[in-house]
Amino acid sequence: MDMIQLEQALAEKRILIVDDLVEARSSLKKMMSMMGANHIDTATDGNEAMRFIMERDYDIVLSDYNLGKGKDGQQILEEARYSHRLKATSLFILVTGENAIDMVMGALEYEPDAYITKPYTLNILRERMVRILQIKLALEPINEAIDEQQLEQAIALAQQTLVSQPKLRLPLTRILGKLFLRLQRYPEALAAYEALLEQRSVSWARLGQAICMHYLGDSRTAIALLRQTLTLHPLYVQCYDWLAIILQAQGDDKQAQQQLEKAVSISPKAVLRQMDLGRLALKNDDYPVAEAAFEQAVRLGRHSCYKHADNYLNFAKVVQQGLHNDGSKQSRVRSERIFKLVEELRQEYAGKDDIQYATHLLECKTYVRLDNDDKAREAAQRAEQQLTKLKQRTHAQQLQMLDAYLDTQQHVKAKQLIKQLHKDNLSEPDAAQLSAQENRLNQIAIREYTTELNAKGVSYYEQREYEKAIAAFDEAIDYEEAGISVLLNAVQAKLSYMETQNVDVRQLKDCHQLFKRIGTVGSNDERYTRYQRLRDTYARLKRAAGL
Amino acid sequence: MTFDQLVASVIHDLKNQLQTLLDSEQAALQHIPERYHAHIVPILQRTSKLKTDTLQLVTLFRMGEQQSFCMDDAWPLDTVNDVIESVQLQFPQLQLNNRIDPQCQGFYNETLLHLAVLTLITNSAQAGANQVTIEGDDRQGLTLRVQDNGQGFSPDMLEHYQQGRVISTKTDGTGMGLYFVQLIAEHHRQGEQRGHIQLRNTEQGAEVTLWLP
Repeated sequence: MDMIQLEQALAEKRILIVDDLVEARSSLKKMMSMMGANHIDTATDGNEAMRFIMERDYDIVLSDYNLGKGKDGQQILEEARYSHRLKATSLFILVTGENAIDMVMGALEYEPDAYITKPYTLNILRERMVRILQIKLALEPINEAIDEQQLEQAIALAQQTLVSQPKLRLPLTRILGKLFLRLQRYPEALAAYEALLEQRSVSWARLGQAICMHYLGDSRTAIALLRQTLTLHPLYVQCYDWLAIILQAQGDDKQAQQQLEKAVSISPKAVLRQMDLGRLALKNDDYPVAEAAFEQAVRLGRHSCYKHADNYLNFAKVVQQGLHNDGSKQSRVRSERIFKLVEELRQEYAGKDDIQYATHLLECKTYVRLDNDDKAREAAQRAEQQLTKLKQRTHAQQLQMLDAYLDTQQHVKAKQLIKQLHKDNLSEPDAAQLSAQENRLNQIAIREYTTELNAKGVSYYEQREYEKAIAAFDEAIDYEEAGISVLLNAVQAKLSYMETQNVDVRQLKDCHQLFKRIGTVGSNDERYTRYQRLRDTYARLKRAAGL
Repeated sequence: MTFDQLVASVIHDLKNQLQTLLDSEQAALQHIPERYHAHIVPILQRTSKLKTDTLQLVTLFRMGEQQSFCMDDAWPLDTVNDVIESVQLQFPQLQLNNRIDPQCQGFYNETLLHLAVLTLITNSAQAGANQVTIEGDDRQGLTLRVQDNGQGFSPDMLEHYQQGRVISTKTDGTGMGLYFVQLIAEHHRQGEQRGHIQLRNTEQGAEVTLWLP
């Protein structure tokens, strides 16, 4: 195997250099040019780097690990891989200070292709680049197959190379293991990792072994392996992630959460893990942990590909949990925080009807917690309007609306929605939620409420505000429980309206329905005279309408 | 911050200070007329030695803390070249021959092996050698052979080595250095096997063989 010609190899490559320090950046750029690189871009931080990566295809990314305040080199790699902006054939090289190398190396969730340790001289950099490019070149046919989604071919090529170039065993096993895992061929993945472990004690192979064990049904061994790897390499965060996954699969959410908390304390900048922790803590009703995790997920995700409305919504919901109308400073801070999140969501997701809908519900619930009935109802109304705009209304969304109706004492609407939802084929958890809401509704004294509505209608009627009276009575009679007196009141309001305004076919039909619902009123009933008088007026108006 | 972390950060700071000092001294050397260099070079050499000692200190501290050092594929030719580049100023009269094949490959912690080779070369220079040759072989684990034309090991030293103790009763610089190199070799393990070193005197001088699994 001949050593490659570095100048030739670098000449056509498109290279991105990321470092927050001007001197480091320009010195690396200078060195790379001296070695033959012609196409070099430079970025000063993670956000700028990501903009470059999203725009252009890079063959080589050289990023410093520590980039100051924002994203670090690890996050750039993570995002680039997550958004499929780095091909298997391209190189990501992480540059680290020598004090950080042992912490970083082999402990990252997304492994870079290579590391370069600072400080380096031109000669050292040259040596490293030759080795790195040499290996990448040897692996190129395999990586090309991976980029073309020819995974079977990639496996075959990797296996051939393993025989012809045994010195590439480490990188080849890494690729093979990942491919087998991706194809769920666990016995083969396990064999690959174990063969390597016999010769080389590497943490990632032990992690791979544990993952295979778990999928092959031996979770106990998997857990033991992971714990063993962690004693050797306590900063290997991915082991905690997998412990959490396995423990969750075993139904031990509490233990799983603890593992994720450890991982987060080691590597707090990973958005996906913060999201996982938040969801898990929420499931465990551990609101303080959930709140912290979602807060980080929102903060870290703000300028990343992981920015997701769910993080904002989940965060706001957890903040709501600690909100009470007690006038305390804490509650004030919490409500301000929620409204800020609502604001941000509305701006960031202006075109998304479903998210706008969620913001109204969020507001509604917040006002309910603050005992501000008027504002809560206004928010519920906005939510209702937004819901009608949605092209597809999921059951979850409708159940949320139902919750808001009940929160804001809009029992009639709640009832209609329940009726409607009963016609649908709900999933088991949705159905459970529906019946819970239904119970909630039943517990509320409906009778009391119809009486109140009836009184309201009567008062409007006495002021000759027939339209308002009709609205009140309509709401009252919507309940099956509404009594004959209320029904008669409704008829009377409608008839009076038509007598003073004009005859309305819809109102006539309503009256017809109401008479049917009232049924017959016996001559000895005290309401008989009134009933008869209303029937006469109804018949007269019907004739006037030419029906 | 725990006590250990405090110690680690102080040592780390010390190392950085020395590196800065070394850089300034080298920069100064370029501005000073050559006839004065003889006065500056010893300072530079001392600083360089201090930095090496500090690196050893950091490493020993981490070993004492049972911290793990990551192993990875690495190439002895490159590692030794890096060492040679870093000691050229310190030992300008020393001729260093890196005879390792470019394809020779090992599985080790680069920082540790760098320190081991650096320590061996420093030993040779202090033993009066003006030539050091390094050879490598990766057929069975990794073997690195460092030969010099110095005065060789003292009988005392070799005797101690035979008894399994590298550190000499005199605990002079050489013994300390070799003990450190042995620790580094032993830190490299694979299954039952662990690295070791061998000492012997050749016709020219001393020879240290370092083996890693």
